[in-house]
Amino acid sequence: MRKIIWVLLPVLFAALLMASTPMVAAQYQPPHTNPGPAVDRIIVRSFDLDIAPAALEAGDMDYYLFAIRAEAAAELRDKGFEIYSAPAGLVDIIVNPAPAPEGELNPFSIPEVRFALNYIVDRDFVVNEIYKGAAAPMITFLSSFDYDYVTIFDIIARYEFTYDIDYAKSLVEEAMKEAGAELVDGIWHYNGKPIVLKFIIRTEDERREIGDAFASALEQLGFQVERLYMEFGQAIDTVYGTDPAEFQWHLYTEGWGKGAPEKYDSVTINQFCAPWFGFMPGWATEGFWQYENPELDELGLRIYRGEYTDLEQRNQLYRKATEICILESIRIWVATRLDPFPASPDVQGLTEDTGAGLRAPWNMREAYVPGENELTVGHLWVWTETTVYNPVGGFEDVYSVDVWRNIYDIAITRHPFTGAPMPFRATYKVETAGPFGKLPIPEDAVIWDAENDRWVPVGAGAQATSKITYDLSKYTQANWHHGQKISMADFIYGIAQIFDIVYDPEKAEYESPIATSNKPYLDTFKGFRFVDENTLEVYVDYWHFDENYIAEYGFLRNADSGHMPWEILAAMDKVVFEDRAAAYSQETSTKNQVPWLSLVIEDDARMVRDALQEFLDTEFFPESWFRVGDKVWFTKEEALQRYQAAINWFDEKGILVISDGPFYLNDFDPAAQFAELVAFRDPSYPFKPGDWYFGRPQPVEVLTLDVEDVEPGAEATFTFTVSGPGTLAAKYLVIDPATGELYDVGDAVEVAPGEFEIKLSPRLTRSFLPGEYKVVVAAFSDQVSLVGSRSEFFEVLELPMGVQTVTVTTTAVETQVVTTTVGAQTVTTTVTTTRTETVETVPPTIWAIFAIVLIIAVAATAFVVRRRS
Amino acid sequence: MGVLRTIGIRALTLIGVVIAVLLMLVIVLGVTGLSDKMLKAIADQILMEIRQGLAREIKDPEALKAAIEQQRMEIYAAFGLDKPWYARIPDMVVRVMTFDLGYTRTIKSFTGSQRVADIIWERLPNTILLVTTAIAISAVLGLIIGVKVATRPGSRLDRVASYFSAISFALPTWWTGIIFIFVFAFYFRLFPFGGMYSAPPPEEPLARFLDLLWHAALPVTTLVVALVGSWIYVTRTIVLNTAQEDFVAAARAKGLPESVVRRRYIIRVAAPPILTNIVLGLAGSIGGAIITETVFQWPGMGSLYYQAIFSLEENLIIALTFIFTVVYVAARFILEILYIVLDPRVRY
Repeated sequence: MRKIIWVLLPVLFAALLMASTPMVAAQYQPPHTNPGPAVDRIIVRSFDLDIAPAALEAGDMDYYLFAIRAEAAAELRDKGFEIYSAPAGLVDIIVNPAPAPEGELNPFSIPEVRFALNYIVDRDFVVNEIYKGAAAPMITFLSSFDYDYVTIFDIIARYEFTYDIDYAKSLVEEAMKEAGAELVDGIWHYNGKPIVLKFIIRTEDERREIGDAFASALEQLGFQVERLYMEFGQAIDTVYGTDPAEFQWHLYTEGWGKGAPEKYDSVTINQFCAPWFGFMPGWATEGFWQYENPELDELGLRIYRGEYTDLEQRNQLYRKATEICILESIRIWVATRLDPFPASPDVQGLTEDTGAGLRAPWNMREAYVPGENELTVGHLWVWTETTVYNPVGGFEDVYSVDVWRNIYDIAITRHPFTGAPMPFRATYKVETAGPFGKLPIPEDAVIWDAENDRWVPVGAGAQATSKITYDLSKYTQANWHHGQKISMADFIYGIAQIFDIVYDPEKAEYESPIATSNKPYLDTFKGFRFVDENTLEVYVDYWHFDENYIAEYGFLRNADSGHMPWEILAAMDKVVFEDRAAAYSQETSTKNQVPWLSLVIEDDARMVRDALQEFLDTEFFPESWFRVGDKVWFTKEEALQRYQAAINWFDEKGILVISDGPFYLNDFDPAAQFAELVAFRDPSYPFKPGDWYFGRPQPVEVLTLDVEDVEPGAEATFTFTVSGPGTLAAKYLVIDPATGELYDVGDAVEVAPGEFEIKLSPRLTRSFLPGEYKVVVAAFSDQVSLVGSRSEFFEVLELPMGVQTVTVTTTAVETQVVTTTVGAQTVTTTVTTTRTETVETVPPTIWAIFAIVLIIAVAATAFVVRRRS
Repeated sequence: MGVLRTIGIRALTLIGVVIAVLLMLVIVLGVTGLSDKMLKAIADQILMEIRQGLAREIKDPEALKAAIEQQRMEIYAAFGLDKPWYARIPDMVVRVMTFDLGYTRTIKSFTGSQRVADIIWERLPNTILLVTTAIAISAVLGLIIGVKVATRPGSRLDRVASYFSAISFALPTWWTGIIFIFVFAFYFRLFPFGGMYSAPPPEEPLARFLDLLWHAALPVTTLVVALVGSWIYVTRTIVLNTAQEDFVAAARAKGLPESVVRRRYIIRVAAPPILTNIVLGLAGSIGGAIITETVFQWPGMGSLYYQAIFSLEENLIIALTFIFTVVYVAARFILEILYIVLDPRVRY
């Protein structure tokens, strides 16, 4: 029973969250069919967190891009406002597993004690009381908001991580006594001294209450807890800045930001489990004691490097690593925090992105209020000191990114509900010989020679793992915001620019933060072919079993970088590298005491404008940057025209943010905390309202689950119905709720659309003892990363007299691999069950009673007959 | 002891105060290790985020490690962590004392400048407009009402003023600000709810200035409501105590007109402590009002100091502390002179 509740809670929570608002996709009617976004103008302005709900109610704002407080969200929901949620942060308790000095005992150096801590977290209390429902419980590093949750669903079910102090106490007692500790007056002692745990509890947020509750539970286990309340700086310095073997801390309330959803995770599992990554105690800092686990490192690295042949093998690695991670219990997981974003009920066209909530790029493109052509979007800030608009080393904070996302069009994006890469403004075709093979690179493919500032052929015999052919026609058949046609030359310059920063020694020295972080990535690029004005071929040493990931990897400058006309990039390069009057990165800016170049700051933008003016005056044209083979992809005349257009843009607006997206940045005022985005209605712009609307994710729900009494030795069939988008699939598991023993796990069979069936084989049912069992089903879709679940108890009947049954004990190993393919996704389940079959005869209880009653009846009758006679 | 000698000794003492304050700052930031710890914590947190980001692009663990190490060195250098505190902080203090305020690490002016002087010069007028104005209004109101009620102790006006003072004194500025925003910005829609300018801000300079005044109205009112009570109460108490002195009774007994008694015997005597409050209040106002500035999103000196401490901008912290101390010392110096002028008995 305990096992199941925590498997179900997150999924039920997610289902509840999604079910609270019906899917509105069908209701969305784009306001027009013109190119560009739904509205003509968006005002982005700053609203304080405490003021935002009232501003929304007063109609001063249409929706808010910053998460409001849970209480305020509940109030707004009651008043009819829409609340969109997104998982935003993870909370766990990290323990220090370092061995204690001679004569002392660190209980957390014992894996069994660490494992027991999973049972002292009252996740129900945390979610409902501390976070007021705006959170989902976690029992491992993934929650039901992660696609890979399905991959490890049954592993989670196998552990009983409910709040059970008594059980935890029994585990701790056994392990501590074995380690030589003794319980004196309810306190654990070692060598006659009480064991005192230093627990660092963060005070700025809910982690204070979580920490207090956890500390109380530790005290109930018999540990003396020294609660050390600390804020960010002190806590970080103590936990991550000291050697774990110094024991300045034993436990710490850790918090993490949650990134965008990832369909096939390769980083999170390493981050939270594998020591090599540097996030486990010891932090890979030289001289510190290090938590080590070679098996986790090996598994983690294989997942990280992509050393597998297919999804099935990857999932097996992932499951094994997860299981070890759970058993090691260096982190005790508590909850995923959900951020509520409020919106006026009048706003149409909003998408609830499962990673970014309302901050996702879809929303400003599609949102509108019927009858109005303008929106006011609130944010906590529009400008802060780290709000820097430069596409090379800027866009480091949410305030710049949240605006910029609507000014440029990414080539390949992530699906709002699954986190899988998908085409946005570029389409692609992938060829790969990976993971072990290589493709030949055509001899006319080129690579940037940073020393000589020119494109050079890769030459004969060059090879790469994958080749991606991008169709860029949706860019190159359209215009930049300043009316100039987007050209393949813009891509050519963009690629050359980043290669030049990384491989030109002078540039790399000046902008070393950018150079060092990009070099390992660029080293995997083996060649480019600029086929025609619309087509780009990229050759790269990268493989993934999902081709979309290869395409995403191969599109240089895909995210916030790039996406500006080449002349702006060239002018910025002059300001940064020739004039040394500014810096792309914050670190270089600080080191050289020059501005961190931001194109929304008038003084900075003016430097770029002056560089453009100089280009124009001197008729500067970097021909070698555009010469590929015999072809020069741009002309001097075109370049001069570009310079003039960019200068005009600055002269008109005082800023120089020019890009290719649905809005252009018309005005930006840091002091007024205000940005104005105006619709880009150029006929060449390829998208119109409705193209990128997704609405809210339709939950996957298990609507019914019909079970029947099971007769041992007979086949049993359970049926259930599922609703949800896309192609559905389901897994099930059968457990004994009393012992927590897992009896069976597998894939349910879809017998009709939305109708699934589970068949328990006679061999399996024969192993059941009479009593109550539980079946849990988890349904999932290829179109949403949320998992739907339901469970039911079923009765195993007593066997008729003489029928044999099987008693299961744990002595032998049995492995079962089940693979299911759902659309593009394949889910693999490997169950390792240890069992030995021992044949026993069921005592003939009913027959015996019947026989005794019969004998008594016969005897009584004989006695009566005899007396009468 | 001559007046000039007295003033000279005062000046030397106050210079000593400046040096002592900066010395204490060096001890707090450097000797205790606070600065190094905080900076390292911030830098390490940034590195953790960088590692998470890079791990999604760099698939070779060794390359990832090398890139992170390089980033660590860059960030540590940018934070000044490549030098020990004693090579960093005292140097900053010496530079600041020669009015070379230096550059910040991250905090910028709205025009993008990272020169500390630019940042302070940009924020100072905002604070003067908001906090200094509010304190000046509160002081004037407090003086007028305080003197008035002190001359009529026990009257209905005195009782009303006393109740109002108590309420005003008890009102938290944050709460008052929020209530005012709800009432005057969202309910009556008379004033904007925050910020310094409308969105979009007016282009024309005069219109922009008027827009600024309109935005300042509500936060100034909030501060005045929260501050005026204490001014009234302090003034009333000082004046009332003076009015009950024997020499005032003697003046009245001599049959001097009440206006003369009030002006020459009460107010002049009560003036030095009241003046002390006013001068120190006005001088202190340049420190800004963190809470009010936050609630009304007003970028002033208070929020700047808060930001500087939060992100441990050593240069800015030292510069602001230096400036606040210098202003305080200057105010004290002016007061010392005024005391001598107002009260001929004052010679040290």
